[in-house]
Amino acid sequence: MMNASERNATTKLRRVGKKLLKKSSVHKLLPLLQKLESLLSSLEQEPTEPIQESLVPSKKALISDKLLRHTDEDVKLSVLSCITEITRITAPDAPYDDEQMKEIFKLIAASFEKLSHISGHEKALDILDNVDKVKLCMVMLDLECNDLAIEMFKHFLRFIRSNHPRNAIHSMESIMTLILQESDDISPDLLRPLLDSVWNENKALSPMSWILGEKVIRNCAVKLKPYLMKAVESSGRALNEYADIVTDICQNKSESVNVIFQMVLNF
Amino acid sequence: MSSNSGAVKGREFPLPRCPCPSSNSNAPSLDLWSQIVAAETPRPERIDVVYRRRHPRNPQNHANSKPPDSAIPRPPRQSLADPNKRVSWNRSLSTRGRTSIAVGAFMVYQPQLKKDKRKGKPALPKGKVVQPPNVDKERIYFQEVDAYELLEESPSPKKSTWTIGNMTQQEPIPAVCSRLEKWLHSRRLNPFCGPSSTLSKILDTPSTRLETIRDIDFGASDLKTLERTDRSNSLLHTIKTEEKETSIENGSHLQTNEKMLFAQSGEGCEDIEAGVKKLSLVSTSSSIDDDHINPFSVLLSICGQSAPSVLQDIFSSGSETIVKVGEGTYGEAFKINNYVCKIVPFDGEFRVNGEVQKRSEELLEEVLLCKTLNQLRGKDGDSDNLCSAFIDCIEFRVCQGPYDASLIQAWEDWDLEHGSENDHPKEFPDKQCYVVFVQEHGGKDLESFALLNFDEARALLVQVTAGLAVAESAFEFEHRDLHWGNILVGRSDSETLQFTLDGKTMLVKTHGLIISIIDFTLSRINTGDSILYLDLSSDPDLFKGPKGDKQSETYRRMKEVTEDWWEGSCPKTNVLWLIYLVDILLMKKSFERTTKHERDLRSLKKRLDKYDSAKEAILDPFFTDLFVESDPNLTI
Repeated sequence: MMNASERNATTKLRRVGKKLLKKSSVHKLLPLLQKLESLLSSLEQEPTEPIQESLVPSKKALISDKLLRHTDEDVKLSVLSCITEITRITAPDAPYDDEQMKEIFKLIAASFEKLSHISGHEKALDILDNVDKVKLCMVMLDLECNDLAIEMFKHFLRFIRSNHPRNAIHSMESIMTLILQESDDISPDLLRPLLDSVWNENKALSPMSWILGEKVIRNCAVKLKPYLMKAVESSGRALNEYADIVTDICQNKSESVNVIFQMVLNF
Repeated sequence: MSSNSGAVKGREFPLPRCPCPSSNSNAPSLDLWSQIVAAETPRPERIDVVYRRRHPRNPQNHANSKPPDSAIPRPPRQSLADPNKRVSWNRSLSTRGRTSIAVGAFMVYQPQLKKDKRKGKPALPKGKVVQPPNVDKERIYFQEVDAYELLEESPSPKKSTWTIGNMTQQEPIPAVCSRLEKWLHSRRLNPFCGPSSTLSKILDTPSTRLETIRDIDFGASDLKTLERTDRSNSLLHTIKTEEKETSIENGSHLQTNEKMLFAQSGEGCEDIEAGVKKLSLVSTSSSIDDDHINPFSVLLSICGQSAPSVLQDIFSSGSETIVKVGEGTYGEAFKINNYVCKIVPFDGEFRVNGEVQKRSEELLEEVLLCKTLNQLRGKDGDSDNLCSAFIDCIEFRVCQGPYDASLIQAWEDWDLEHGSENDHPKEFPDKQCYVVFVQEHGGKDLESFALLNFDEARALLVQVTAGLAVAESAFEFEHRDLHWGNILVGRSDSETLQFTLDGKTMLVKTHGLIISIIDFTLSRINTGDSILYLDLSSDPDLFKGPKGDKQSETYRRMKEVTEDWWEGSCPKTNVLWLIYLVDILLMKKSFERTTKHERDLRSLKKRLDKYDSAKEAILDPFFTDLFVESDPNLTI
């Protein structure tokens, strides 16, 4: 027997899902999407079968061209936010097939450009949070969306600013760390935005970006060691033009080992 | 992840050497490991499930790409396997340093996960804990069975046979008796119900005792008869013990034939109960009789029907206009003249509107509850407790057959205007069963009703409070789900409304407003014969609503005050919903009011928290001037 709370949730989900398929104007869609996101965020992971069934109308509506490719930016962001909530609920299984997931990842990577906006980046922060906490980038790596990972790195390192909430900064750090740690191979193109961020000149230009890049490199020092020197050489800059952490990882001298050891002690 | 694996190995190997004082560098090393252990103290995760790589990672082969310095780490790794070599000690230091980098990375990574999981929800224990009271009841039950065996004086082989037979017949008793009790209760609610089933005929037809005596035959089948009598006697004894009855039955009266039952039916109501309980013994061996006590048949009886009606019989009679007025997961609601007909499909195997259909038993309880509350309207004569605050359920009908064309037309008209979220009724199969609840039209729900002023708000509160108080007094009633969607509000010309509480009549000012309380799905009621309630401990999701949400907080507070025991009487739950109602009026309903009015409501809310029932709450000074004092019966 279905319990009262599930009945309530399933009813509302089905209603909102059906309405989404019918509405098309912005001022009607945005409240509906807001309501849907609120409903989705209250659901637990590993939902029961009735709730899974009640998610079907919303899942179909959100992936339809009408919503996913809507011309209004706010609608698109809301749609993406709802989709990432659904990925949280359905983990560890992706809610859509591979081609659909690739399309979604493109839009997610593009949404992080909104992080640069002074205002109106709340939805992008919600998306960032969901992507991080369920490690959604694992699916992205499986689908070999390497160019999207590069795009994410560029957006994070270019647009990070001090007024972002701290949990957002942590999400960026953990997403980049996860991508590097879990990648089969690390391409030079992926390292380029990271190295650019820890270029000594950038320390003054973009201190938040410098700090973020340095943290990610330190997190992945062991993983990056085989790739980092080549990336430095192809960058056209001298090794000492980068943060000390890069020099330490590349040179692997006894003096460097002591320095690294000292850093670890400072944690 | 390979780095995690390295971290694990690093932690394992150096630990045994920590106590060694052979090197000064041990001190910082020890501190480091302590920090690592502390940092890795397990904490509850709020996101249980995350995504993982789907394909196994390709084995990395970078031996050729490694710089010449890569030769250095190899000897230290080998030396870890042999801690006794002094020469390798110096080299293992650098290995620990490299391993610590991975550990450090892990340390940095871990706190972020915790911080980033703010939207997650704590993992709750799954499955259900067995209810101790049930275990106790079972033990008591079997103790009674065992105690009875001690009285048996038959030879040993017969006792063994009796025990086996007894065991095989025990299981059906609770379910059958539960249904029969509901049926007996429904008979009291319908004293003038005409004969609508063979069962009624059997029980109602008078007959002489002499015939019964003549039918007893102890011929060649004496032994079998005695054996069967023993089993029946034991079962009947168990039943009576459970119900704490003291009457003693003569063994010879337990013959299972209809004529004996005839003799019983001429006597009082209690004898009818005894007759039905005897019949339950027959039901274990007769499929024909079993048909009369299944939930569907009981539902038919309580609705005063011998067979299902067709929807057309109710809705296709001439000139009435049928308009759909609402819908819910339960089904559809249509307005015909000034009545609202709620049509609820049940007992089907497929999902309707995304949910499993209700069973006969569930609807039976709902109908019984409505009928019980209807008694508060005084239709059955004088009573010490009367009110009209609960929706008037005028009639109940069990229907089977296709959805009526006029209903489908009304449904489609409504769909064009509002966009229905329910399944189209034409999808119902021809054999679908429905219960039609014919109710008065109570108005709009409070959520969508526009209150005009503070007087109307007060009138709403006093009627809800008085209604709950009257129902508490009459039936220990607790609504347990009185959110603003379950209070219907309409306007009326009556200036006063009458309530009778414990024999005292009071008139309250309506300020033109009349309320009706609906939806008793979660309610508890003591009908006098049985306690109907929904065990909310089997619905943990009800208590997981958003923090700070008034409705969700009220469910949680109910769980506290009842201590998750939902069978017992706890009228404080009614007060919790009154507090919810005051909050709703303050925060979600806009009507003409002053700051003093708002202060009065907040003061009322504080005082409500000290009351343990609606009966206490109705005496609150907030309501005093709403009572018409000119009534001579008023003694409050």
